[in-house]
Amino acid sequence: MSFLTLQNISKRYGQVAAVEDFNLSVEKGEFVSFLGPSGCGKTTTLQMIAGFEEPTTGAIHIDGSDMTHVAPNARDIGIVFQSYALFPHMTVTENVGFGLEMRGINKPERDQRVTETLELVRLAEFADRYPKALSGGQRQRVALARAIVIKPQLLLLDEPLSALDAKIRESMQVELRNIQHTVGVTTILVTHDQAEAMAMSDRIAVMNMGRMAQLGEPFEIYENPGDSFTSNFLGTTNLFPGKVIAVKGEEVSVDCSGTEVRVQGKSQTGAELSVAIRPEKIGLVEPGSGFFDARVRTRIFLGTSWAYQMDSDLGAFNVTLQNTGHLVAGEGEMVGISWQADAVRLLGAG
Amino acid sequence: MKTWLPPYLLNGPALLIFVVMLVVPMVMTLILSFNSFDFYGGIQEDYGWHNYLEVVKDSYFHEIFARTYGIAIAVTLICIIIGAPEAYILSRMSKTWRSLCLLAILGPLLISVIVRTLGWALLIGNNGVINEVLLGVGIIETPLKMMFTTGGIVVALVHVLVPFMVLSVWTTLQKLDPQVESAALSLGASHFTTLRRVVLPQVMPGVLAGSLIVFALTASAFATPSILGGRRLKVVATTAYDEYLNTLNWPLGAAIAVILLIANVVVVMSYNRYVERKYAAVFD
Amino acid sequence: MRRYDKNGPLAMGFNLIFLVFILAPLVVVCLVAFTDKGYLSLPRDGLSLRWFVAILDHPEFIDAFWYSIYLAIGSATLAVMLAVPAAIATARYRFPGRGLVMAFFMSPLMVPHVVLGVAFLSYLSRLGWAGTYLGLVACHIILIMPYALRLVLASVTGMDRSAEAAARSLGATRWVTFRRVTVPLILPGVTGGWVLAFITSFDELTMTIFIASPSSTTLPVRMYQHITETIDPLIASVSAVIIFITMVMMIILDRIFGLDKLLVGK
Repeated sequence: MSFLTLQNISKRYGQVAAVEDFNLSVEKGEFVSFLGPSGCGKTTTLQMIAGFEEPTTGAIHIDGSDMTHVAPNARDIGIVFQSYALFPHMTVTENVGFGLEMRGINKPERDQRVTETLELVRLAEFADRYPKALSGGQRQRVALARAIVIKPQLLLLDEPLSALDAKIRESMQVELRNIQHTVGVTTILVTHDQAEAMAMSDRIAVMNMGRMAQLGEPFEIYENPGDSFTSNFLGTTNLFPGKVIAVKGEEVSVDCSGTEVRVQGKSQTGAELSVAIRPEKIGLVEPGSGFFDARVRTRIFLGTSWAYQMDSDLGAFNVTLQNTGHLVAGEGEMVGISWQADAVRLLGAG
Repeated sequence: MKTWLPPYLLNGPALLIFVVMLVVPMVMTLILSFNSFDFYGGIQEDYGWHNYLEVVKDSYFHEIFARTYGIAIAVTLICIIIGAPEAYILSRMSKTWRSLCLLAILGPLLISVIVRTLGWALLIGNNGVINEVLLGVGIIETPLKMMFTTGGIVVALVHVLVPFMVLSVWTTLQKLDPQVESAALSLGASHFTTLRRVVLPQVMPGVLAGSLIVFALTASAFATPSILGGRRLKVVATTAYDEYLNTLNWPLGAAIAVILLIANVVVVMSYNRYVERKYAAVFD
Repeated sequence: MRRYDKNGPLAMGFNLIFLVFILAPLVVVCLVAFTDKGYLSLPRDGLSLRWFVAILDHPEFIDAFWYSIYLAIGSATLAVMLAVPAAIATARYRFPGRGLVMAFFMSPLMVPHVVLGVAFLSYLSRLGWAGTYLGLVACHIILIMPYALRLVLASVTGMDRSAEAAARSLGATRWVTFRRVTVPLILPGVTGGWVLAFITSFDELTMTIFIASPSSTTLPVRMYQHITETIDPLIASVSAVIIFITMVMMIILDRIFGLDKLLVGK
């Protein structure tokens, strides 16, 4: 049996379902992210694991024991809150030591463990400060130290980096991941930031409208999104709606607004679906030598890459080209569009 | 135009009326408090500490000051004990109920003290509603004496002033991060420990600010002690009133007023010092 | 995430008792006002409006009511007219003595009303203004200025000044900018300050009792004088009318500003 299991979890407020039929198994030491837009039920799910909300139906097991109705202060879970929720009237040391004190651990051992943990998060010299006198990143690390010092069975991170500047956020992602590896604690991260989820997690559970849309390793779900929601929420995707006109073994021919596109996959003739391709997988070739031609509407230089908006018979779409140091097609020019055969996916209509 | 001129011009009218209507009268009252009073000749143009000495020496005034500050301490403590929990309960209510309860609790602040005190006179009078009900049910045989007692004054003043305590604590609670309570629970603290170790220390500034308002207003309360205390249970404010409008000994009345003012200012100042020293490092 | 009430039965019980304590005296006043008896009593044998009708036979209450209204309108309006420029000066300029000026304007809050009454009485009688409308207005301005200033200042401080810059960049003169942008933006705070000042002036007893004369008696003073002589159903019915008027104003205020915000001054 897995370390953490959520079985058929649902949470309803009156008629409104916040979470519906949610199933998940997490292995010991694993780092799993709940990723989705606001209102998708990811925070509610976290609240149920933490014990601040009770599931309407379903069961939660941690390390084999049923935790569904156990009070939050008896669950042995470390939580890093979105607002950090530091105790403003306590010093850093007192904040971090609070959980140990609640466990009745004596002062010498408490001090030692607090010191060790503060060193781990590189805050040793701030031990006697009040939270008010710390920067956002430092507060974030105090919150992390306070959650891991109790050596919890499970670590929950609720949008822990959302209040930080972009630069600090990226370095904290790496640091958080390293600390999680060092401590080895099973971790659940809730986030709406797909880059953060991909950078940090072993597996991602994409959530939408209270349900799990897809579960898998970051690379796997980025490359093989199960539906148009996932493919658009992780990165961006061009979707061309069309109708299947022929199926030959593993090759499907789709009619997209009069242009025939061949895709590897399974379907049946007459099915209405979408052809999906990511902007960075499209190549530009000489007009007439690609699958079809398109006109460059806008071209934006982003440093490491070029971002194009194209107009074509199939509709508007985006292309991202790596900056190789050479000038590329300019606005108003006609270009040919091509891609590798395995870069294209078939997604249900939508 | 000089850059420093506009702010003084803008403040000018208000400053003028404050000097003419506040500073001058206060200084005149201070001077008056050093004059002496002759029952036949009226106010004498001499200066001395005799009015202050009279207040300091006479046990009649000792009793009045002791009663006033005794009532103030009692009212403040009761307001803390019932007002702070009420504010906490309000903060945990659903939104609709909370706005209704807040309206009911804060609304009376806008109703004249005289009306609220009249309510208590109707409740606790010898022929009042409480006695009427208790006699009617048969719990007591003779009316309870509550009117013209210190206890009656305390209860009515708590009623008049407890909204300030609720308001003060409630404002502090609103600034609290609700996740902080969750954090304490997740770290293994019980609900009681969370309340004592995490919530209470954070609302202390609100409790102290509320206490200050309640204490200062109780110490200088006039209408409630006057109506519910009658002629005999005098407090500082009603004594000053009597000296002015009944005995007509204005200099003595002025001295009592000056002492009351100084006591108030000292309490407020030392409170601010204390709070600044204690909380400057912790809260914004 | 607070969709529900987190209080247990004990807390709900406490809340109920607290509300009863707060509301009981006001409810009792209203009940007694409806008595059909000639003496103080709960209306057990039926409701009667006789004591409300009786107010009409006591012009001293009606006159005092109107005097209170005129006094409160006059002093609240003048206080706000003084508070707006003072608030603008404090919010927008750094000048020597800025904090001191502010503390000065707030200082009446620290002075017990009885002390103000004592001071104003000897001052006004020396000036020969005792019992005059203007004298009372001047004293009330001092008393209510802190309330008016606090709300006006909060709205001036909280105002987005880039809106003024935008108006200027679009070609508006200083005066037009003030009239078309600044005034509408601070109007809620100014209105709130005026209303709070009005109510404070209208309710004031302790200071006014020193400086009011028989021809310039406010309603609270008149009621106090009546109560010290006799407590009868008439004074209850007058009080009930005040409670009713205040309740209507309160609900309006709560809708517009939020009562807790108005009273805290945020």
